[in-house]
Amino acid sequence: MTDIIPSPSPAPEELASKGEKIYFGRKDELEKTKLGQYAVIEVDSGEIFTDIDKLIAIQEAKKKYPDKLFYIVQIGNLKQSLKSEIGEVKRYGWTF
Amino acid sequence: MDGRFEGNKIYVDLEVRSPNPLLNESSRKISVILDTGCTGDLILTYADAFPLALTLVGLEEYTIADGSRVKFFECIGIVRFGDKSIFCTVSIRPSGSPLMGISLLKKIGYVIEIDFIKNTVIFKKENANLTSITKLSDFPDKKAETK
Repeated sequence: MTDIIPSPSPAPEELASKGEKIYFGRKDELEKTKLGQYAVIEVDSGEIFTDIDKLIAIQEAKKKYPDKLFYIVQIGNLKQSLKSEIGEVKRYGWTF
Repeated sequence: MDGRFEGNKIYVDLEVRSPNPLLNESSRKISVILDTGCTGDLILTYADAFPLALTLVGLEEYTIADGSRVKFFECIGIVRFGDKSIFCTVSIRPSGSPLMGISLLKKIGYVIEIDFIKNTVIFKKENANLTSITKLSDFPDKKAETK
């Protein structure tokens, strides 16, 4: 029997941190050409899949990277990098 | 196919299930609020979403109205509404009301008629360029029904 060792999923913080870095690295270019579309980012390769329909962008990303989790953002929705925002609260849809 | 008013909110009953064909039995009917300000397809709570075994695809980050950022886990699910079943994105959060966004209504291909005097909501079929899912295994190899 062959052992299958799944690649570890990144922690949400790591996924968000890497994804944000990639997004802000290409933010100006993306906002010029694809404002309002969804960017689905594969954080290890840095590849970005875009579409006006989030589902389609995710499906395209899943075709190429079926086992990966992605960082997703609507282009233009995030104004500045998290690290530069004083008092920003990192949270997953909730606040304790 | 009708919605209903409860107070000033419009509720719609959707059947939601996992895109995994082995988990068809996990479908649940969920009453969601139609939110015209919601840009996503569907937002559910963890309590609603976990029993459905939706497919986790990542993390989405938003800036919300007060300027702060929130991150939602993002999943893929299948929604049945009227006689149509479609794939949609599902953002999940710890608590709050389940919400249905306008993009989901567009994908399903219904026109909504709201009468605030009579408190009635009627969904009318529109000849949108959509087709129903015929095979659950369509995901993710085909662009399915959302073109």
